[in-house]
Amino acid sequence: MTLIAGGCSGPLSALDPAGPAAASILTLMSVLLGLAAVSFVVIFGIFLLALRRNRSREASLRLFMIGGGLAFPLVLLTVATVYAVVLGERIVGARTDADLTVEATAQQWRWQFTRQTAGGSASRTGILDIPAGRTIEVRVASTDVIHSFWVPRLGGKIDAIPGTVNRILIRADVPGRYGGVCAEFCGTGHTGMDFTVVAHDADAWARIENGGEP
Amino acid sequence: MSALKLHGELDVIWRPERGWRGVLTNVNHSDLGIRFMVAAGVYFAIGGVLAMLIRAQLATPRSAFVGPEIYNQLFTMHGSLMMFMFAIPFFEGLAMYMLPKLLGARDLAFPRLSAFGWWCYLFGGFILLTAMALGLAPDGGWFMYTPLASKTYTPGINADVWLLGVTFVEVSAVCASIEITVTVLKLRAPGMSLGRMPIFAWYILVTALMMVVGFPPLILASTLLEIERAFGWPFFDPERGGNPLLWQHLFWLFGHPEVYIIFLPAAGVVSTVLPVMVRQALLGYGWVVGSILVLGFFSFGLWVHHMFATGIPHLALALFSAASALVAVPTVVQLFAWLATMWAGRPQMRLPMLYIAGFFFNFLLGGLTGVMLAMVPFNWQVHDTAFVTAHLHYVLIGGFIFPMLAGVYYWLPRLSGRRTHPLLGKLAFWLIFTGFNATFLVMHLTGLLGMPRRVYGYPGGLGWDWPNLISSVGSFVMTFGFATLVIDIGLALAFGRRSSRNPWRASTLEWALPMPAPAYNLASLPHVTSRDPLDRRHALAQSLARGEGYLGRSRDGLRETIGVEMASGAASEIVILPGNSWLPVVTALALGGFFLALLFGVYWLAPVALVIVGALAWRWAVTLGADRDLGALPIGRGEAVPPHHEAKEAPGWWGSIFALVTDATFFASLLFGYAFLAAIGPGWPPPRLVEPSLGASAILASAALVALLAERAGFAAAGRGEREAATRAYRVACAALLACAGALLVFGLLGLPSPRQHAYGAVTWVMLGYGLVHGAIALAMLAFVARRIGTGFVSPARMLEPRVVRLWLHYTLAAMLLVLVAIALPGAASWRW
Amino acid sequence: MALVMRLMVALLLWAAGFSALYAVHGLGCGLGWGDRPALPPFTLLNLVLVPLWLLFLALALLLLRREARRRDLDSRPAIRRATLAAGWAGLLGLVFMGAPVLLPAHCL
Repeated sequence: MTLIAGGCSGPLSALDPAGPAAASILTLMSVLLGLAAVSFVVIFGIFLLALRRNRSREASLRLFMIGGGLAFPLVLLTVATVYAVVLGERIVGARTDADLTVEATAQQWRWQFTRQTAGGSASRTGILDIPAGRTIEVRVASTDVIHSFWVPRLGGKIDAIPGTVNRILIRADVPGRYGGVCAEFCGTGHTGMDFTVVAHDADAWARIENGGEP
Repeated sequence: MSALKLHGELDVIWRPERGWRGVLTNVNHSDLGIRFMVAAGVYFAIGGVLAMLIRAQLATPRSAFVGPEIYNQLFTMHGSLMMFMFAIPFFEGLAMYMLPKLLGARDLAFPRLSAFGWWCYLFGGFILLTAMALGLAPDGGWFMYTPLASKTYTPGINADVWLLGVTFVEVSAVCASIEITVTVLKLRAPGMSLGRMPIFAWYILVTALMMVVGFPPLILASTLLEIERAFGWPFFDPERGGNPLLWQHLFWLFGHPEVYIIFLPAAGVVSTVLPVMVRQALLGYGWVVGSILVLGFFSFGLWVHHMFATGIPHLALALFSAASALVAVPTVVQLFAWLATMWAGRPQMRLPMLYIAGFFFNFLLGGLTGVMLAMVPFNWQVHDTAFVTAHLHYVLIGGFIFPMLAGVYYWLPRLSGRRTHPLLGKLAFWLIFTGFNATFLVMHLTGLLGMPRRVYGYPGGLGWDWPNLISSVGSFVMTFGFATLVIDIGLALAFGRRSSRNPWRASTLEWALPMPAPAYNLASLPHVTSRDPLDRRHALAQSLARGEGYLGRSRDGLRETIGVEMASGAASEIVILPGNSWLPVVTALALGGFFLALLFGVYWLAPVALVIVGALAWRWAVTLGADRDLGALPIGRGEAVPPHHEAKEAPGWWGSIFALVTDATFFASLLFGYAFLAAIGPGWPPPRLVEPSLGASAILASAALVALLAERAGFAAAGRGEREAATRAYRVACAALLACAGALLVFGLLGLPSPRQHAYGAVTWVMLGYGLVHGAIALAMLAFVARRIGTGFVSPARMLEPRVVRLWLHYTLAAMLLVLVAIALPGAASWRW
Repeated sequence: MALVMRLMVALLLWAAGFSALYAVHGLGCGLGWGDRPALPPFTLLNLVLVPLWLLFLALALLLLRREARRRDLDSRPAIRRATLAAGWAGLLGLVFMGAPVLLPAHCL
């Protein structure tokens, strides 16, 4: 068990969530994997059984088609889709008020993060400072080509598209450093276009808010 | 007449010319089908070598094997070659080779078009390969997202190579789609109603129809991007009213149906081969037909699931998520039809069945991860990671390569007259199967551990080292498997023992042909009364060889086959097919000149090349038709039908209909793009809108009316045999159409804003261009009919050409009016308020 | 061709319905209907999308009923089954794929 857990952790592992969005998606994934496993066993099982038969027998076409072809996938798909849509609504968070808004601007090949402060704005390249345990709205934009903002341990990704501003909510449950990458291919520097989200505890964040060094 | 004498006569009529001339002028579907499949196989090998290089690079962290410039070309070319140069041409080749034989026809509906498609494919491929050899291959990823692929961020020729090379190859795909659709609908053995068609024909029919409407959005997108790159018209540039997401919508509007376009023919192979392997006719034929129709439609409602992370509102994502989930149902229906067939049958584990088992295992996994990916929140996590790479390879290798290899082994005796050695084939299967799963099963995990797609290296310590190493080792095992397969087939071709006529005891018509297949397929065509026309004792095959079926004779040295009424399959006409011709290769060369002129920026040459293409097209049409009425001719078995020139719904008529459907889809995609930009912007409304012009509208509408009426009069006069009156009326129609085009052009020159400043100007100019190009085509067609009436190729009985031209004229006039309205609409709307 | 069209008509209706829902959604978001509350948590956009969806459902139902009552394809059972299957699929497709319009629509 520890071996599996050890193999699944990592600075960029979606299997090692550190925030509510990533955690709920991992739960969704487990459910989907379970449904997929059931489907695989049923269908491939029938295939193997049918393969081993060596004499002809009556097959009820109706049972195969209506039971296997329609009812079976429809039930599983309805469960999966309803679950995913409801979860998606929650993650999008139309009715959630963010505690803080940060602008993420992508440019070949680096990320710049800007936040409004009392005395103007604070900006850092490659590092996104956030308070732990609070919900942050990241407003993602690009000045050149399409990039994609992704912090696997905190949640899904959102594209940075020139000409529009997209938003995503992130939240880190505990203080720490969380790796982020550009997920959308953006040219020769795509591979190195990573960044770090640093979640600070309350004290450290208060210091930063007051103009201190992070 | 003796069977041998009949064979001799038909052979003279149908065989290709000898030597190099024959290579260039051959239009025979069997030869062209094999060429397509062999060339596709070569591209598969090239794409595979590129994949090996990718895996070599990723085997260890911080690999210094290639840099990002080369690596980007590697994965872009790998994807592009596998999609456009391997998968689609391969099944096109299989369909071309197999369809007439399965349907009991002697060739495809438009043999010269098959050859033209072949040359376009070959020349387009040369463009891509040459660029790769020079290190100038496309490097923006196989879906070429803008603005990365726009001029600013890809200043070199690389992106143009992709846009022009791939579009050139798509010309071939569009030709094939129209030809295949018409062939399945019209060129069947008499008695073969829709419900008696072999199931493979249904799969290919639906696939071809999907191609008819699936390819135009991509062709439009490529056209727009190439115009933006060459002339600076801003369709995708957000600074000037364009939108980069428009590219993604158009690309995936093609790209998702494309997945099913690739999968359906492979599923058709399963539906054909599996019943033979389990010695039980396919159960649930109606269910399967229904489910592939449904798949054909639903697959057009999924494209946004490639764009879940682009910031589209969640409600819209939910619509597409539900669609992406539901599309699994018709696939599962097919799976259960196959399972029911197996259950009722007595399976034999022969080599094709082994590959089908591999298909079940791998495709099932790919389909299940596909449903997972359809769920929006999960997609947000794994989109653009190695998880997606794993998924798509399970779908494409599991869902296309495995069934197609089953098909290759199944039909190898049909194609070559030889059989393979079972041992080597099994070894190849197990190497491919284990290598494939070793490569891609672990890749799901690599993606979940956070590895994005398209990175050329990675640091250690992220947990990505060992899964990548496993993938790389697995991919080399898979390569050994494919090498074994090639050796196996090569040995079979060289030394394999001869196959009997129907080695698998199948019941479909392709096994009624002699081995190897003669150029005319069947000495006479069967009357089909069931879905399984073939009997065990070859009685039908022998009777057909003796000429006891339809058209068991030669007439005037013409290539004849039978056209049927679409639904019932009753014989309705003798279709006279054109023979060997230089036109396809010459026209493809001229079209290649057009694409090369654009590629090298010699823009004055491009219209010249198009004019040459037009002249060749004229020549193409002139060589068809007949100058006398023949009436109903005997076709054997006591039936008599007229030649197709005298029939109402000849293949050419239906070919025109489907060509127009393609054309209309292109236009509809353009209108969608216009509406999309206007609704989403950014940067709309544009600085200046076109004022609706009452004058232009009045001139255009009245000239269109005159053209319509004049053509009506000409058509009626031709139908009464009054040649002079008809010619005169067609000339009036020409003049009126010219006035229409003139009005449109003047309106554009006076009213439209510059195409370079804002996307509004760019789109409206493209729409205007669309109207003008169609005006020119319809004008040439009217002139053509006027001439044909003069030379006696049109008579009250032979009205096919005027009817086809009427179709195009009506479409053109409607399109021109629609262009005018669409251009003026935003201006009119703001003008009123 | 009439037969082929009849096979496809329910699916064409599905295509029209699906496109209409997506297009009206895009248009509504462009016009700001997603921000105009109506019967909270629902918005004006819901008020437009839901009736549109129900309209297409009714059409698909009518079509299916008509096809089920026709007997002229009885001599071609495979084609009749395929036509009916397509009719059901069109209806089911509209139900399943349109159902998300019942979510509060807010263009985020």
